[in-house]
Amino acid sequence: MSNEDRIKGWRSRRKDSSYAVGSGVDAWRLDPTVLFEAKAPPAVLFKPLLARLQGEPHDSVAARRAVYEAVQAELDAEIARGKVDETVADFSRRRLRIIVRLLEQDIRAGVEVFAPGYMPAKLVAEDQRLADAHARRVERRKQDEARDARRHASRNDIALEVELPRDEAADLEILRQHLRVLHDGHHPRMAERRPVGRTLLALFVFQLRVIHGESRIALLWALVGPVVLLTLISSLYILMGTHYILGMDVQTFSLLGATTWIMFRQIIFRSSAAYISARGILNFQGVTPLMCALVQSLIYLSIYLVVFAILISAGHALGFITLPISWGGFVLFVVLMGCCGSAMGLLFGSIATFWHFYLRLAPVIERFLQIFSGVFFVSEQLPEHLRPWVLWSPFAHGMQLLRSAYFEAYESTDASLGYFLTSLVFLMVVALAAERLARPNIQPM
Amino acid sequence: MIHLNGVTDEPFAFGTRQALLANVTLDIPVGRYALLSPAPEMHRQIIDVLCNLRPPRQGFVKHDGNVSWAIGRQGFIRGKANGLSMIDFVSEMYEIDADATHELVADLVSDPKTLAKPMEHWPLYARQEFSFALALAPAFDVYVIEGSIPFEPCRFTRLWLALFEERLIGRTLIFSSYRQNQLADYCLKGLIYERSDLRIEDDLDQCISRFPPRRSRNESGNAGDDVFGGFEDSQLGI
Repeated sequence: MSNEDRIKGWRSRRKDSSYAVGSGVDAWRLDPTVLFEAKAPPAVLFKPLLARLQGEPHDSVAARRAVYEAVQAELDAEIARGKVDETVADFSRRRLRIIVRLLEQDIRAGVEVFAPGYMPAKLVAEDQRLADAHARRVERRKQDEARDARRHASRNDIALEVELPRDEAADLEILRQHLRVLHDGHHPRMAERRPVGRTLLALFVFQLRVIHGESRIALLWALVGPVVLLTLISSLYILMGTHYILGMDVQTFSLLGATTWIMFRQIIFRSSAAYISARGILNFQGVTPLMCALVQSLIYLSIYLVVFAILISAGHALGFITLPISWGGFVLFVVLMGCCGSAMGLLFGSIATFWHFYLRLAPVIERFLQIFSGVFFVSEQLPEHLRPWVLWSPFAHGMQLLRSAYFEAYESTDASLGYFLTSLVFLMVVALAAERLARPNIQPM
Repeated sequence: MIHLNGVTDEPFAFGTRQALLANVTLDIPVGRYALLSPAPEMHRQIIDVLCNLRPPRQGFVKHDGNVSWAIGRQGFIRGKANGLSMIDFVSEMYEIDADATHELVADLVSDPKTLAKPMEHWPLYARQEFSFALALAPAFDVYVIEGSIPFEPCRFTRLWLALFEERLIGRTLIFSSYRQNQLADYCLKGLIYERSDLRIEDDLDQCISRFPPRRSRNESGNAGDDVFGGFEDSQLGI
């Protein structure tokens, strides 16, 4: 710029009546206080540039380039002086380049760029695009820093300091105290093998809560099944004019057969289903399919012992049911029948892991066994030559021994305690062997 | 530490019997391992064996110290039982104070009210949070995580990560995920499953380049564990 040009510029500005010497300086000087603000509009760079261009010769491309370069140099100087972050500096440089490109396009297109309120048409949109890209770069850099910090913590086996708001930092301190209490109070035995009984008891309580959650009146239905079946059996005998069977009154005879058998079948179905289906809970170490099956057996045994207690006491109060001569013997045989059901359920469940269709057959097998298990009659009622058809079944022995323990007038001559117990042990061994073979097939869900 | 002694296993998976492990003997010492393989579909079965959730066909797995369950799995968060019952169950099983566990989980999760509702009605994020929160209660020495470590930018993630980071110091992590970033962030070595064998390799970056993590095809049809989707890049929730 020659001196003449400067004088010409000064004279042109002087024609404006409001002109005061030095008043134009602010208009073309870059303001570092707003220049690098996060949400500064493009005007912070555009206006000084335009003012400077107006005050300088701008007729030729070379002259304008000189102005642009001067602004660029000033911007770089501000960046260096303010030690501006490289990402922000890069954003300002890119912004300047966009402004120059758009302004130059308009000047070459003959647009009146020095008119008041002028701004390149696309500047806002282009600047927004640039700002978005800048925000993405900032975010990515933050993530890179976080990742580097995370990996540094992993490599050095130290805890990464996560930046938390003040309220969360207070929460964290409380949570740390909870953890301290929990971990300090840890039983040293946990490092070894946890006791099976403890897990079994915990699972028992948990499953009771599940049953409670399913339906609060579900347990009432446990009473309905035996009542229906005992009514059916009693009705058949009473309709035929029989009120006593070998000294046993029909109602109590039916009650024992019906309730014990319904318990037996429920234990089979529930425990076999639990064996193959309770896969969610298997995600905890120590919980096994065998344990799930046993817990179901225990639950249904307990339920039906309560059902027995209710039906016997209510029936006795109404004068229909006689009381047992030996409560201990009666309960023992009910429990042993429950063990039979549990072993059968485990066996059925194990078979079902190899052949899924098998559990569909389970009700058919159970109905077949029901005929030969002394539910409706005892072997002593049958002719001598037909008795072996019933007495092959250990469950028939079990039911007859149960009735022998209950009634004073009836002492089974056919039932063998040895055969019953041997069969029970054999059944358990077979079930456990099958379970061992089937166990690797059951995967946690 | 986890010891595998002559472990051979052939579980049923995807309708057929798969040769999962063949006479594998391996000691997994204290460290941070990324489970990597050309077949992520089998990772679940591998973790079942490592955590002793299922006995192998032959051989045995021995744990020195407390090994967690497969954290991130939600199989047990279902059914009519509520979260409080599940907390009681876990507390009783691991012999820890049930009240303190209740407080820990309730203070940590985003919506403690859901704990009293049946778990079958819980939204997916509540299940995820519960699964991770509950895993902090027992003092585990080996943490086995299957799926993604929480990363949604929220209070739960920040607090859980802060507690987990502190707990993990000097302990073992075995991590199975299709999220490469998380594997690289948290792990230092590769636990490589290849051709029915398990081995440890020191160079994790090389392991990742050889066995790039991918989502199991078994999960690709559903939401999988990606309940916090859409925040792939933000690992720390900040």
